[in-house]
Amino acid sequence: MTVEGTAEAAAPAGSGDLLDVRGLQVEFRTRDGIAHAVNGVSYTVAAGETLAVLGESGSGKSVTAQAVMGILDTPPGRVTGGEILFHGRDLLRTGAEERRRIRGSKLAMIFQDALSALNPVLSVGAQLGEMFEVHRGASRKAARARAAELMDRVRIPAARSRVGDYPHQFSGGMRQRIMIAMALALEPELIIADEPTTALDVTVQAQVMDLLAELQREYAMGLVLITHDLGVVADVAARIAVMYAGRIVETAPVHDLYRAPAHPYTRGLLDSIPRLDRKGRELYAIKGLPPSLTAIPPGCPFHPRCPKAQDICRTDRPPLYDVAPGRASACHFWEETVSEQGERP
Amino acid sequence: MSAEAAAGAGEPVLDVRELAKLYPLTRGIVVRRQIGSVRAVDTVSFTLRKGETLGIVGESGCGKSTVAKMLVGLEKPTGGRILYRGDDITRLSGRALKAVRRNIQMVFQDPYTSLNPRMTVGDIIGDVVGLNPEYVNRYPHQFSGGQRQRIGIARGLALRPEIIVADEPVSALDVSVQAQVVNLLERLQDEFDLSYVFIAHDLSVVRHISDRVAVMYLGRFAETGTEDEIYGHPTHPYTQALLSAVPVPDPGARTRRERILLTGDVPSPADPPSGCRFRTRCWKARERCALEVPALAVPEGFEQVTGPARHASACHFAEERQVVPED
Repeated sequence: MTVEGTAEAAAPAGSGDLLDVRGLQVEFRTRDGIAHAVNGVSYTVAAGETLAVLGESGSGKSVTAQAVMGILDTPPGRVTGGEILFHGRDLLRTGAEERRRIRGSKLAMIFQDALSALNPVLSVGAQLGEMFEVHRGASRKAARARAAELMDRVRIPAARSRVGDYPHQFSGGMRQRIMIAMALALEPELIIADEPTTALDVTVQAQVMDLLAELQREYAMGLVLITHDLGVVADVAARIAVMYAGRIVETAPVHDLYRAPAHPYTRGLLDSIPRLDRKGRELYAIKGLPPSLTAIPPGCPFHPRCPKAQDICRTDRPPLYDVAPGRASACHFWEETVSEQGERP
Repeated sequence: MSAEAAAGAGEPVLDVRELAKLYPLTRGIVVRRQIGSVRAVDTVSFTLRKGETLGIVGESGCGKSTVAKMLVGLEKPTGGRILYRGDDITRLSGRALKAVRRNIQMVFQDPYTSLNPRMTVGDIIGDVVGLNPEYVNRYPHQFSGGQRQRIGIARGLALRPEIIVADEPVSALDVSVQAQVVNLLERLQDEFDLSYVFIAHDLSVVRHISDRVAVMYLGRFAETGTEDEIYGHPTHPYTQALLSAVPVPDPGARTRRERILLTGDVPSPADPPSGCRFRTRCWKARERCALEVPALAVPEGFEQVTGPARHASACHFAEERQVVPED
């Protein structure tokens, strides 16, 4: 799907994509029945590329990432279909030990809440150093030295003197830097960042996002940025996939998506956010609520909230129609949607 | 300008003068000694008019929530006065206080923890906020986040107050639901002629909803003005840095925008810097900033200026700088 990907087509599966998720399905057993969290999600990420996965709570964006990382809680969760190809090799059919090895050194994840992702009773130096001891067989002393280097690399002031400090002794922004350092430790090829700056203040958020983008360029890593923030996406991503009720409803290069969204849900989201650069009048509000994952509506899952819904939307589930090269929309009326410009009436 | 017209129209309902909140820091168990204090709010003054929305923005720990709590009486100020229609409510107690309190109500960030889980929604509220009447016998856990926030708002309105103090009322909500609640707040304001103190860290939401805005840093207001003065013509370096860091949902702005990256973290309110509190992170700081506390007033050199750059800004070296891209 990406230009860079096909140019260096060397991987066994015939695509140059680092990560190729195909038709992924995940469900959870709950008291209210089976929750269909991910219903056939496909996306690709090439080396050095940033893909943003945008969605609201319950859209399946984080569950997809957890399935890729192999950290899904099973049970209650279960992958019921699809493939997760990493360098052309299906991670879902890889043994547990092998998967753990890949997860440590080739794939890494950054979480929203650094305080709960870090071990509170171990110093940050020990936690960072552990990566080198376990995966690279480094001595404790050498591992500590590498830990200090990494902390310096993510611009923690006076890193050397702070290796022995514990997570609670750092500010939120600094803890997030330590998590980034941990993710980077073994120079992975792909990083999945799940709402990495959501819990941070704006000025700190900007610092952390800049750091992440810089390191990604330097190491030519693939980056999957999971977020609900349309502003953050516009700032850093090249491509974007919008998720709704466990499906990708639109995927597009970032400039195209903001200029002319091809799905009414994307359009609604863009219209419903207050803007820093304009004093709006009334915000457009998407009516209703996202569906319960135990009872996703038939046809297009967005139809009960969609201003464009026709009979066909209530019965036929729209496939991902090709809108343009690199662009797709799961809307029967994408042509109409994409050509609509200007203010909503 | 509509914002100024709206601000000028109503009579003052709330007059806050040099409000302060110090939390003592103590040491020792048997013999407790005070070893210092955390200056959470260090003299904040403002006036709120009838039908107006005052937005207070700032990062975590700046004291904005403490201001909110003092306004509704959940915290007792250690200094200053809060005048409601001329009466000092910080000195009232008993029945007189209760009578005033009903006019100033609060809406919280997380309605789930602020609603009584064992009362039905019908017990908690009446009906003004567009909730289906069938729902009155349900309990809070049976609602979605957006619905619960409507219930929280409805409860705030139940006593027909004049003033609503809303502390991060939409921060926990999804984008599509956030718009519904923001619109609801605006509709209710028109309908009941409410005055809002709207506290949030999201600068875009605050611009959308506010007539006037106060930018807060380490317990003080750094800059105050109308929505257009603050967003379009900021003169305080902190406001400029804050605004420049907000991501805008427009990929085209990536290249057009200049971003001011601040270094370091916010200093501890237990040991704030002397003089200007922002000076430790400010690229303009000079000797004077460490010695003299800048007053929140129209800064030097701006007395003759006409137009939106002339507004209160607590900086010795205030300068207008546009940081929000023109739409």
